[in-house]
Amino acid sequence: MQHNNLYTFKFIAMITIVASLLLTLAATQLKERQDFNIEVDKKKNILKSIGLDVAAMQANTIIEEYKNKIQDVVLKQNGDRVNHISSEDLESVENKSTGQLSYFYENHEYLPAYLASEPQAFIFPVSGKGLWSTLYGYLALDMDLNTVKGITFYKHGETPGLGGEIEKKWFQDNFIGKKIFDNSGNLKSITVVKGKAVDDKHEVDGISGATITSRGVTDFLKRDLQRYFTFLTIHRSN
Amino acid sequence: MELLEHYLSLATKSIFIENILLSYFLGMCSFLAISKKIEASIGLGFAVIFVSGVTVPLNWVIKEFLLIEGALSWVGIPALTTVDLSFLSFITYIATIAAMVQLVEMLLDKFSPALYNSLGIFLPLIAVNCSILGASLFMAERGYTFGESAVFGVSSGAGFALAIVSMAAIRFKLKYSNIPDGLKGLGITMILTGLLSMAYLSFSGINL
Amino acid sequence: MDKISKAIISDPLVDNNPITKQILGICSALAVTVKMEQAVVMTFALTFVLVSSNIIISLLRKGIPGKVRIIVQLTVIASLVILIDQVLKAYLYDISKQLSVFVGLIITNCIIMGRAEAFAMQNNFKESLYDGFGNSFGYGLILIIVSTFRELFGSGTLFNYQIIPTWMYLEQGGWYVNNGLMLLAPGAFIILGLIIWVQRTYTHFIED
Repeated sequence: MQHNNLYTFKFIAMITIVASLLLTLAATQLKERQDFNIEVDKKKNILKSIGLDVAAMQANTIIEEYKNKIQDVVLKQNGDRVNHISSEDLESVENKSTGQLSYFYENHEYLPAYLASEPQAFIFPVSGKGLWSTLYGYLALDMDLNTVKGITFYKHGETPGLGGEIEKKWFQDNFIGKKIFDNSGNLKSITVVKGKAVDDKHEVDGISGATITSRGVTDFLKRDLQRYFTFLTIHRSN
Repeated sequence: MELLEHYLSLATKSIFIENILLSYFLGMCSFLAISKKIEASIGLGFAVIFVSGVTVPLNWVIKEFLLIEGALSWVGIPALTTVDLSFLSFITYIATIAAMVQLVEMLLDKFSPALYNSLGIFLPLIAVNCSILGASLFMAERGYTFGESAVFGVSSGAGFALAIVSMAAIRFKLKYSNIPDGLKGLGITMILTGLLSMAYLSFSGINL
Repeated sequence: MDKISKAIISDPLVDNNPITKQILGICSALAVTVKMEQAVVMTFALTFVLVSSNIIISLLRKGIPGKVRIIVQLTVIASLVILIDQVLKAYLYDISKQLSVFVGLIITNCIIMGRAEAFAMQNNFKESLYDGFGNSFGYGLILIIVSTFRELFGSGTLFNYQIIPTWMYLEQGGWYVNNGLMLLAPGAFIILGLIIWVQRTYTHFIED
């Protein structure tokens, strides 16, 4: 089929306009609902990280439960608690090459965290690069601030079945009961090993075929834990 | 000097250690179909080097100056500084790639009709050759600079070219082998690719 | 349904299977066949996108200028996929989380582009609809066969249910160890190669 150039331009312009209008319309009209879903999903994952069964909960139950059980905490970098800011005021900035999130309020950096009642736990966000994408999640610690209560990932773009297994129960369950400090109080973090874990305190089984994702998880857990190190050490002794 | 060294190690890494085809398995369809003939493989190899070498830095520019949040601040209108168009990233990346492919198609049609015919349906399919979109997505994900994007684009294309030409050479030799009828062609190529990629897995231990 | 329509649907199942015969959609066939669950999700998503893109392209076919057809096809496909993703994110968030990682894989899945180029551009909307279903089923069939083997031998499970009895495993005092190679891409290649062998022996198709 031959068409002249003018027709080609017109056709392309039409397709582009229709496609971009449709997409922009969808993106803007649905934004509010999408943001709400993301919000609920974050709260759901915070609740899930302390071991609650969230699968059957409706959106409003989740919000209700969250309100009853979770309390926002904002920390200074030296570990002190700040009372006049809530974690929703913090503006997060992502480092594009490492995937680490930093949180700012009026040009000062802070650390967000969450305290859960029944079961009691200390929860904070973790994030970092896998193979294809940044993984975002929450790590919950028992009140001894050493034993892992749970870990969840709420957003990622890893290959389903390989790196994507990080969102599966079997992988996340591996972390429960692991320790982040060694006996002399050094931050040892938790390593996702290739194959089966040997050290039952600081290692978890890796995901076969997803070396880069596993390595990513190891790296950013250690890095993000390091940020809370001062806070954790101070409060561990109490 | 240091910059050159950095680029060189990035190139080595994306050609050998993290070969886009043999360790990330992107761009398989055209690889399997075209590696039948050496000439066509070389042609496709160069086409991919060209397309990915142009589109990765081009997509970098688009991403930095149009798509990411705050990218439009150069326009000078305050309202635009908070616009985040990253939901359009897939479609813009692929549109850039499709435009480049279309350009290559027109050029080949004009200057090398023989190659144009032997690439057949697979020329349009370079547009959906996952290795090229994959390269752009890796670029965005790993936060490369413009220079790194250019090096990465060319060398990931080169990695693809290397893999397809070596496969074409192996298949050329296979003509003398006695293969069961049903396994001839695609079947044995699949198995060979499996073996070749296992061989490339051994590069993965190298640290640069 | 008349004979031709039946043929359009049944042909891609075995004789003209998109993966094993047309060599389309290999990348995703490697990426999502580690577990059966993902293979099934991918099949559904692909069926939806392929059928709709075939319909849209065949309706537009008379108007699409030949020179820019690749860009037009890709724009249609990519917008369709992003649109679906946006709608799912707003109304069925849990499903969209499952699917979001497939989005890139669907856009670059050469089956969609390949069928648009090879079939929907020449045929009317009803035939294109049948062609879309037929090719999706053919694709899904191979995906499910490959993932059955990979999940059973690679993880000892099917749809995440343990199939191989746990007492057989080495850690439990038995002798069995899961074959890790199955989870890696080379395992998929070799299985695909063998499936092609079986299929071609059955259809008596010999490639030279």
